Amino acid sequence: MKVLLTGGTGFLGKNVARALAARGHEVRLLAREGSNLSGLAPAEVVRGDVCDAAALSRAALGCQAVLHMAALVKMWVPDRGDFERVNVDGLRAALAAAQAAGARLVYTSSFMAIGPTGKEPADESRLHPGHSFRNDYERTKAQADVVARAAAAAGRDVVLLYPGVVYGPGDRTAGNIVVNMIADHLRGALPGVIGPGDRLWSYAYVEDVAAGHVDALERGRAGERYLLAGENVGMNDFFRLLSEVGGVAAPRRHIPYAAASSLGWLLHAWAELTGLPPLLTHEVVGVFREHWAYTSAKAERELGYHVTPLREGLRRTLEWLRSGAAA
Amino acid sequence: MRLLVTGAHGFVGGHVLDQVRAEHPEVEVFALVRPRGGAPVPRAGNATVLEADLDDAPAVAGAVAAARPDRIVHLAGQSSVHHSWIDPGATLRTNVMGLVHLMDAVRAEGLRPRVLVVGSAEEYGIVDGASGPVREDAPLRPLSPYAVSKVAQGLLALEYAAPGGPTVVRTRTFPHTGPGRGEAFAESSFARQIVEVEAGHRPPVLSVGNLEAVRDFTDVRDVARAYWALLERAPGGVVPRTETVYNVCSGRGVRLADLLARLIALAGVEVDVRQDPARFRPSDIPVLVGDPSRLRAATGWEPRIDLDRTLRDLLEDWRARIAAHRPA
Repeated sequence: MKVLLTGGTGFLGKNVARALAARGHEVRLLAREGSNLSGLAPAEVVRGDVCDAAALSRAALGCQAVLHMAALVKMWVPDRGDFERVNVDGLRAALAAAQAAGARLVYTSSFMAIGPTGKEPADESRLHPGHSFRNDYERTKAQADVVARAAAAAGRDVVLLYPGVVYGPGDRTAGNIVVNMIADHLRGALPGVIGPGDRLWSYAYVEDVAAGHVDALERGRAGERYLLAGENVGMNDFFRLLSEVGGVAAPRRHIPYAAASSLGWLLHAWAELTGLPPLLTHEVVGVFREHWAYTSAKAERELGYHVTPLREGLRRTLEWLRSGAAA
Repeated sequence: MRLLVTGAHGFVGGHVLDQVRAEHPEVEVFALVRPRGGAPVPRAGNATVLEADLDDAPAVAGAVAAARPDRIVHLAGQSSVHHSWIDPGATLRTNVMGLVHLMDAVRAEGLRPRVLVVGSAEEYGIVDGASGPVREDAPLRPLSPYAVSKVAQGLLALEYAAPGGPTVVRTRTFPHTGPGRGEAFAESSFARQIVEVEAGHRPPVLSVGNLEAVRDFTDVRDVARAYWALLERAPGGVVPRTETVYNVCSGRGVRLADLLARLIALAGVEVDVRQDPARFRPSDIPVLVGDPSRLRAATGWEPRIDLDRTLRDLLEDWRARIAAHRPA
């Protein structure tokens, strides 16, 4: 089918674009002027921005589906309003574009839109509790989730996808935090683990998530939410696996939350003063304080979603990093 | 707490959102607005903006299902008496069926919110000015399609209130004004014209309608406070149905001629006032002053903003609006 893909030049997006093409779909890519198209061979590139509703609607005409992945995945930007403009208004524009084109909308949300969980993995029945958002990304993805669920409840053909913490070979964008962390660790540049290292994150291998997107496009039920997550593992166990697979000793130092948070406040204040992106913010430390554990059982059952074990995913990621292909 | 405000981009909606944000930051706010076809949606603080036309039942149901509110302030609707003469059908559809769509969605989701249904003093129609401020038990003698639609809306809302279901609190809100008031309303039109004279954009002549009408004006920010107070404190549960409606008003009447004179004095401009028969409404009610005793007794609410400050802020708001549209 002919698919308009937004956010197709991101880390996950490029993997999805390739998976779509491999499964015989015709990809029309919406990309901003100057975005990095390396590693992509889309049938068609349309220049435009998801913040431009008219351009998005024009781009969607003639497509049977819109796969809306574009999002602002950053811990800090000079103008906080950009988070709303891209993450919430961008979705609204995508909904309008899909409706005008009579197309299905597959929307890539995030585990953060479901919210922190505690040790028991959460499923799709959980809604973000609201308030106490750790950062603008989480807040605006949760708001966009309400907008998407409203469209779904109104009977629109919308499928909502919630990837876990996506990792694996691919562009080293801000969204590829796990690979960035591993790369820092390999260079000996990771100062330590933030917090005691027991908080569970759901590590989703990028190729699984990309395949899950194509399956959702083809078979996802209208109006349904699907978690595309992975193994739920604490940071200490994550580094233990990494050392077993890659022979790199785990970081010895643990940075207490309070210290990391104070440093984050300082770096955040400095960023606000200078307009330069910070290395860490207190809002990111807030993410390290929570469990983000999810089950993908529904996607496995209905979409045939496959979870690559973290050990195997890390092995492939390390191999790719060490092959020099990542540079 | 999850609060859904319909008509959130309207005059009162904006003030309700401002107030909740400032005084109750813990409340998660969902702002229901008319769809803009993908055009950028104005920000509403940190509120989550949901687009749904009240006439579109599935869209309203979707918004309610996604927001799952436990408080609703229903402000959306066709709010112009004048327009209700031009298109009575649309007025009834939006104001009456809009409420039906909203409450059907609440019922379908099995929600039990407290719902404030905002009515209008227009529902009273012709009142006997000699018998003092209007109380809630005064007869309803609506005089326009708009007023009929608000009577129907309020009575229908009651039909949805049930033990174990939603709690419905209704208002009959008297005229209210302040920053953001639309120019179709007399006092706001006066203020706009005065500011235009001040700025040299028009000759010093004001065109006005009937200045003999006596109205009870409340500052819109006091009205927003009253709505919150009613939502939180008006008794729910088993209350006689007729007592679930509250006048929202100041209790003070002011002749429009005096209000105009205040505005002119506050601005300090010299103007001629000319009456324009085209500005008279088909059904101008001579005196409409409300009695806010029931609201006061139920919530302890008192207006905090006096008329002079309201009028000063209205003038200031028009100065800003005109400056924004006409660069110097």
